[in-house]
Amino acid sequence: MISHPHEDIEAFALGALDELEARRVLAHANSCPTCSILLADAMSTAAKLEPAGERPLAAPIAMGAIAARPTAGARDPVASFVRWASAFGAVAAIFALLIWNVNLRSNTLTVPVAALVHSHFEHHALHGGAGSAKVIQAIDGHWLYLVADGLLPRTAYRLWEISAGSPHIVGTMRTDSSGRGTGYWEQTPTKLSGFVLTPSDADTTSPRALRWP
Amino acid sequence: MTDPSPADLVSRLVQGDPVALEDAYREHAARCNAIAYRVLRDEDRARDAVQEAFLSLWRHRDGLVVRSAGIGPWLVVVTRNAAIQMLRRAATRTSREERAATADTDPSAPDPSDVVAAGAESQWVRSAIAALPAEQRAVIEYAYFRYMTMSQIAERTKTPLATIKRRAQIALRQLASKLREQQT
Repeated sequence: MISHPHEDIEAFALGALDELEARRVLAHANSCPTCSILLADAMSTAAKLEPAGERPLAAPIAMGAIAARPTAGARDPVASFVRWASAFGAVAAIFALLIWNVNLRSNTLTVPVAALVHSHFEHHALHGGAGSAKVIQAIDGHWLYLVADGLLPRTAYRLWEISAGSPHIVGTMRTDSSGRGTGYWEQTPTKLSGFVLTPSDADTTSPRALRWP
Repeated sequence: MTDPSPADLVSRLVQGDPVALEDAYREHAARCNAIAYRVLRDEDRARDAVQEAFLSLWRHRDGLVVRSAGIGPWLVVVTRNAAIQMLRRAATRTSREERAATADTDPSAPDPSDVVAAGAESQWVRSAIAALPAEQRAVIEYAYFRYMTMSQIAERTKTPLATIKRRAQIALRQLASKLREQQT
């Protein structure tokens, strides 16, 4: 069973891991939707701590030579192992989600990792209420992936999408004992203008709701 | 040359287009070099760190992190990490490390929050960092501005490693939240 290096995500962004730890975190996050989003957030914040400013290189580096080099997978056995182990873990997680009766709008379930790797997506941060959440959405709109943290533990939450000015339920997910939860749904692409995440006993106007935009 | 959008650049990188790497280099190399130089204070080693960061970008182009984070933040963090790893690998201490060591032991040295404030550029970053609880601010300062690993911070502060990691986690998330508030 693969374990997520959640406790090392921020340390990576701060440059506070040793080389091997850093490599493991990056290799895992590269194939784990949840950790990739958490790491992206942490990187974005850490990058803002850096002063702006540029310093032109005296001698430019030949990018063609870099692009001609072998890829990491062929050279880095640790990264390769973690990538495969992560993919296996993701498949196991999807089966676990199914067993835990996460509501799926579609009968056809695709492993999110495969969906993410082979398509382009954007992500939206939901704010307000307690906790934080992100919705990763395929550019063509045919799937949604939710990752949330800091919510009420062991609680059912509903994800709503706003389309044509009205909220519609996408699905329900349940948080674990530490208030984390994920959900994955496929659907017919729709023009969306927002997302709302609420405890399942609340509606979209609740002050406990998290919203994007 | 047309100025590619960030999404277009990512898309072309994912497809393995070497020209996209050149475009990314043109757009980000000078900033990456400034970041690496700030850490290393050495032109040649800074260039090596930049090269390592772009090599890493190319190697990880089909992973999820580049697409999630975007090329800019990804390169900033990876360049900085590469430079810090070089610093740690170096057998001799750089003058910057010596300054950091002096600051650690010299009672007249500035408060860590001042060091943090000097390192971060904009006012809203400074105020966000200053608003963190002292123990979280200290972790940010040790990790981000003195290049210490989580283990070293734990040892230095005689605090369990898990506690230090948790403080870093909370601190960075609080910073993200505060910076978001400031920007809206």
